This record gives sequence, C-alpha cells and structure tokens, in this order.
Amino acid sequence: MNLTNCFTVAIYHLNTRFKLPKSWGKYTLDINNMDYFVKYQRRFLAKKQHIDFFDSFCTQVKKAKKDDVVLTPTSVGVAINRFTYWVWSEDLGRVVHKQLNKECLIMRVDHG
Amino acid sequence: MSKEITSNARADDVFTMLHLFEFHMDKNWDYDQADAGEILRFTDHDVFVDDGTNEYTPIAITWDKLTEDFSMQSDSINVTIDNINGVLSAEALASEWRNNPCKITRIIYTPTAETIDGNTYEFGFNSQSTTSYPKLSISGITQDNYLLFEGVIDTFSATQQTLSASLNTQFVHWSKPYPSRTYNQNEFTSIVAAINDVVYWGQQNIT
Repeated sequence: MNLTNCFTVAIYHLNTRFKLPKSWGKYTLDINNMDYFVKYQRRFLAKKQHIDFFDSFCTQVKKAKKDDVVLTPTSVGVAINRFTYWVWSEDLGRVVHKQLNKECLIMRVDHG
Repeated sequence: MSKEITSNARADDVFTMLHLFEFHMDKNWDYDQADAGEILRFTDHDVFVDDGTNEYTPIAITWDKLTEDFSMQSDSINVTIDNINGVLSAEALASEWRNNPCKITRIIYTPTAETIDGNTYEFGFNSQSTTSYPKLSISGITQDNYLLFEGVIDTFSATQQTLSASLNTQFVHWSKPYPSRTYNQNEFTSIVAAINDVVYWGQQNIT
C-alpha cells in the first residue's frame, strides 16, 4: 500500500470503516493500487474531482462527526469530531490535525 | 493546595503535566453523563488525549491561577479558549452554557522516550504512527490524576476568536461566609475554629 498523499491515506482509512464504491467515472478504485491518484494528485485536486468523487456516494452535511470526509480545495481529510479533522501532510510526511473552518466541505458516507 | 505526586508518575525528577476539561451540556446539574446532553472535552496538551473512554481535543485553553485557602479564592475561576475557529464559536453562541457543570482534571505522568529523526526525546512526547492523527493514550500510563476544579459555568462570552467563561464551585450550602474584617494573627486560629464548628468546606458541619 502506497500511502503518499492525502487522498489515498483518507481512502485507505475510510475503506476500513465503510463499503466504498469500486469504481467512479473513469476511475477504478483499487485500494491496493492507488498510484493514479498519487501521480495525478494536483490535476485531480485542481479539477475538484475529489469533490465530485466523494459527492457520488456521500451526502453533504453541515455539522461534522467522526469519520466524515472533510474536503478543502487542496486536500482530503477525515473528521475527528465536529471541531477538528486530520489530514496527511506532505511536508511533514505524517498525519496532522487541523481545525474545521468555513472552507471545509463536510460529507458523510451513505450506507444505503 | 498540595497534592501528592507519587514516584511512579515521575522519573529523574522529571514529569509531564496536562489538564483535561469537560464542559457538560446535560443541563441537569446532576453530572449524569448518561443524559442525552453533550459533553465537550478539551485538553491543554498539544495532541489529542485518549483516556481509554473519551477523547479530548487539543485547544489553546488557559485559566486563572487556582488557589485554595481560607479566603475561598478558588470558588470562581475564569477560563479562556483562544485561537478558536468559526465552527466552535458558532456552536458556542448557539448553546446555553450557563449553569452547566464543568470540571478540570490534572494528569501527571512520565511519557516513554522516543527517537525521531535521530533525536531522542526523553520526556514530553508520545509515540504516534504516520497514518493516524497524533494522540496520547494515557490509559496505560502510570499517572497521578486528580480533580482540580469542579463547578458550574456562571458567565460566558464568545467572539470569533475567543471563548471565555467564569466557573463557580457548587457551594450551594454555603450560608455562613467568613467575616469580612481582618483579624490579628494571634486570634485567627480560634476564629477559624469557631467558624468550622458550624461550617466545614461549605457545608453544615454535622460531625
């Protein structure tokens, strides 16, 4: 498992909590082979495809709770509680926690 | 106020101290955590703290110096939460904080040493993995912990960046305050004894 950006780290974590879709659009979500999302990360984020991706199987909510998806224009994180979320930091090479703010888009994985 | 720190919770005269804050939102004054109400949990530590049951969110929180003496100065303290975000301030302003129970717990412990990038941190840092958010688990650490303050939220205010609250102890049975005049040092012992004959720690002395 190659955990090298915020998207793959978040997906890996969410996959242990929820049943994620196997494919989306032109992408196939293979949890053991996420190289595409790492290689084309900037393009993926710039086109806001990460938002479209989670929007395809999540519902947008206003108040976060644990394991909700937290999307910003440049990152994908996971909510810890309704005040904070964690996200992979490329600079530090590890996960850091941040406070939720107005630019965060909170999405909850649909179980149905 | 003096509390005993056991030798188990420190090594080489070095120990770490953190505080846990609980703001109960159950509105019943009964400290019953089974209520449907909510409990907000914060810590002044720099990472999340997990006590085995609950998780405490790190936040910049400060409070007045606590004292406990004949003047009963610890019956009220002010707590300030700084550098908050819009979510917390919006939540705070939408909720009723006053008259809700709150408590501050002090934890004293010695974390295990860890080597990061060639540097060994003997104390003050706890292990963390690279794929989960930094969290200190204190459930398995030898520690001293005691309740530093317990009371209710009296006044509360919030701005976009700061929350502040005044906390009062629940001296609900306190009906006989110490005299306001000052006494000579020589007669003070007998005066305190006379007061304690009726009142003991804010309650009627029934012994």
